[in-house]
Amino acid sequence: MAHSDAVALPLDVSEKARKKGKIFTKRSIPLYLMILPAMIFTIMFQYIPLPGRLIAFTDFRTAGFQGWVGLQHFRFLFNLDYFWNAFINTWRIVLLGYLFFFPAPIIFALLLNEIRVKSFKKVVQTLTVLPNFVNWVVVSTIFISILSPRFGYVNDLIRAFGGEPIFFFSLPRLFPWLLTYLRIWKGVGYSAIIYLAALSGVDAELYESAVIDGAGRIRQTFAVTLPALAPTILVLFVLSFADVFSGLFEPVLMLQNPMINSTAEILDTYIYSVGLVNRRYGLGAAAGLFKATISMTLLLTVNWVTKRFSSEGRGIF
Amino acid sequence: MRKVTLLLFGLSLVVAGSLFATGVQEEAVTERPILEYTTLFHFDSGDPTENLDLKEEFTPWFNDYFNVDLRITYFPRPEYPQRISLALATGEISGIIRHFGGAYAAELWADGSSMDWLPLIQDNPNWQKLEPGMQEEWMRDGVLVGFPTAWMPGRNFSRHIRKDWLDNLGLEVPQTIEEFYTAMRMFTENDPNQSGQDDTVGLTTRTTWLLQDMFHAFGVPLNHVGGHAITTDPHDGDRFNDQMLKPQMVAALQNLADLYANGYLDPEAFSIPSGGAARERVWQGFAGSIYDWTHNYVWYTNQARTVDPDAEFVPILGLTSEYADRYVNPGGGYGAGEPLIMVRGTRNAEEQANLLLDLFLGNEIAYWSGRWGIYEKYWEFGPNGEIVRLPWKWTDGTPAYAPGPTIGITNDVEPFFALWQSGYITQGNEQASRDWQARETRIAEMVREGLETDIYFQYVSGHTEPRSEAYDAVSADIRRIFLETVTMATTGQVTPQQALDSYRSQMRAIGAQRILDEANAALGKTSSTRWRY
Repeated sequence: MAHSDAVALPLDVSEKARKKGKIFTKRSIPLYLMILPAMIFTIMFQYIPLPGRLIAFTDFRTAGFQGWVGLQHFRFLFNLDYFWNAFINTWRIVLLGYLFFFPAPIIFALLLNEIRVKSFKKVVQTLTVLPNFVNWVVVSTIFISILSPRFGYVNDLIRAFGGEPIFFFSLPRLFPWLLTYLRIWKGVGYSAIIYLAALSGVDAELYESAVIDGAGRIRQTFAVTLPALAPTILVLFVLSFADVFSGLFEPVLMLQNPMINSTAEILDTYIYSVGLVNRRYGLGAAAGLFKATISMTLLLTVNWVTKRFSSEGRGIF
Repeated sequence: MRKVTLLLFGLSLVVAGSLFATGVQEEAVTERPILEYTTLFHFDSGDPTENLDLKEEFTPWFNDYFNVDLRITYFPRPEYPQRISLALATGEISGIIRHFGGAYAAELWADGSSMDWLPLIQDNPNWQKLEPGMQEEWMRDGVLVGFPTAWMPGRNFSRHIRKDWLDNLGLEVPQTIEEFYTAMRMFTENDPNQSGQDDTVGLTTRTTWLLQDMFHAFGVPLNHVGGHAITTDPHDGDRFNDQMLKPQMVAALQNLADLYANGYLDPEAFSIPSGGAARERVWQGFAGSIYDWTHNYVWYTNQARTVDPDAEFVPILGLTSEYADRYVNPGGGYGAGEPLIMVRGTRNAEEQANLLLDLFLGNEIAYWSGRWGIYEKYWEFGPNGEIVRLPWKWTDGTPAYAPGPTIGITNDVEPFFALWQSGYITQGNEQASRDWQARETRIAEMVREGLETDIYFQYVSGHTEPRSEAYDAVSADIRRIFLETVTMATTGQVTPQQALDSYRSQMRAIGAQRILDEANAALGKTSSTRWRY
């Protein structure tokens, strides 16, 4: 009951204000002020740069605009095997991410939820969240050192057991798997927080009922916990397609080297390399626009699929 | 209302903090003429962060001595060109940049990042005194895209190899690629340092930069910095060829693939972040060989002896094979050093350009200080006006054999001040000094002999890179495609032939044949009919 009261109050205020035709009220101004920085940030970094997409159709140099070139940059890109290779590599890593990185925090949250010793649970949660605050530069340096064929202790162990040292970061086929592993290592604890929050809201009576019905721990997980988590999982799943390619740039840039570039060059690093490092802004912008178009298409498609097939017929927008 | 006040107060704090953190503040007023200079180069004193206290003393001294405001920005060495590009793209850099070579200078001019030096300095007497060759080195279609930092006989490269390891294994210094392969095998498998452990490999490198002789030996020389394979071809009338199109490139790549597959080539060679890191692997006794500046072999010996007192390096000036019966190592000729770039939009660009020339080419003390460090601390004039370098020590107290910490802003410019080699600061070790002199003399003899007998080749003067607008537009792609091709073939991801087929297809896609045609036309030559994309 307390919960519904708390929700009702702002609605009441909002309703009264609406009736009076007032947008800014004594109560709403602080709320607007709170959202103002986020709005400014969004407008500055998401909307103001939008016209910059036009660079994809221009000869734009450090000296400035040189002229329109139509689809020339796109033709150049689409003729490059290297570009398509980067495209495929991106998808490979994204798919591995959905297969392993996306479910990992859900599984972790479920496991954590089963721990009954609170102090142990807190320690585990803290330790697993901590890597999220370590920069990718540091994480990559640590793992490159650990896995080094000459200095790394992993190879020391392999040698101790009579094996030949393995240079992990020279094996192109291994790279997407290594990267996925590192993303899980770094992000699983932090990503699990939102699921743990959702789990804390599950009505304890449901578990009691399940126990009365004879459900064991595993049965409770599938019959109570997962259905309770489903809306959260769905929202996060759909939203993840909005920035399906993001979050890869830093780790890949830090870990890639010429030996593994056949699988470690992704769209983001290609755009960075072409657009900024080589100062071919038009080409970089064209690749960026291509990437954004795919993200947008995916988001709309997934939202449509969700609407079409979910039991309530709702997407997230 | 209190909440609103608190919120506004909090927001004000955030904004004020952000402004403070991003350094929105009044620039210090100075009446001295400003010279902004960006470099990675700290002469022989390592990267910017090494021996910092020694390096930091140079600029204040220089500014007080010459009453100028020299402002130096140091970028770390790995990925230096990329960092320069990023700084230019974001507009956070101005003044003069020391860059790596003519290709970069031409690229920056082509995309409008840099200024033409000529209108800025053409009336400066120090510019007019320069040798015509030096003046023209970085000239492109009447535009001076970079200012030359040197004019001196070209430095040679050679392969440095552990002589003491060869002796331990009963091997002679290799002369052919086959002998070299054997030495690398034995360096890896036969315990050359007699430690009883499997702790050595044959050779290491930093990408293809320190691996060039492995191509030269097969008659497929790389460009002057080992960045790609489009070069004036000493085997084909000095026209520009893409060496990757020649059939013997398959054998060159197969040789590298064999070295790598058998563990004779350092497995981390293509992921080592810098030349310094690769050199360290050599002098620390892990790898027995590396390709590097010829004059560095003294340095290798000195450094390696801090780990192993018996260590000794000798240079191999070039290797031969069935494909190339003579050494092909770039050498001789005159070089203009790294070009200085004037960033577009630099305030007082003309003043800065002339200040640079007036100081570092017009004032002898500034010139030598830019070369050897603080005057009367690291060097002084001798009784006959000769340069005398003074003994000094590193921060940790060890005697230094290198030039004093400086920015290396000047290099040897022979017409201005008598060319003077640094020599070896004896620090009480007369025998070492004599050994050093003997080796230098021997190298000079070998280089002279090599040039006279056509053993060495020089890239066509002023054409170390193709002069072509098409090249400037895609040179970064060419470097990437080349490096990936070599890396994939070497590490066995594809066969050499597959790698080269992919290379040809990618080069076709970026219009590489036009680059060759334009570059050869600029030389008054036609492109090869044999090796085309």
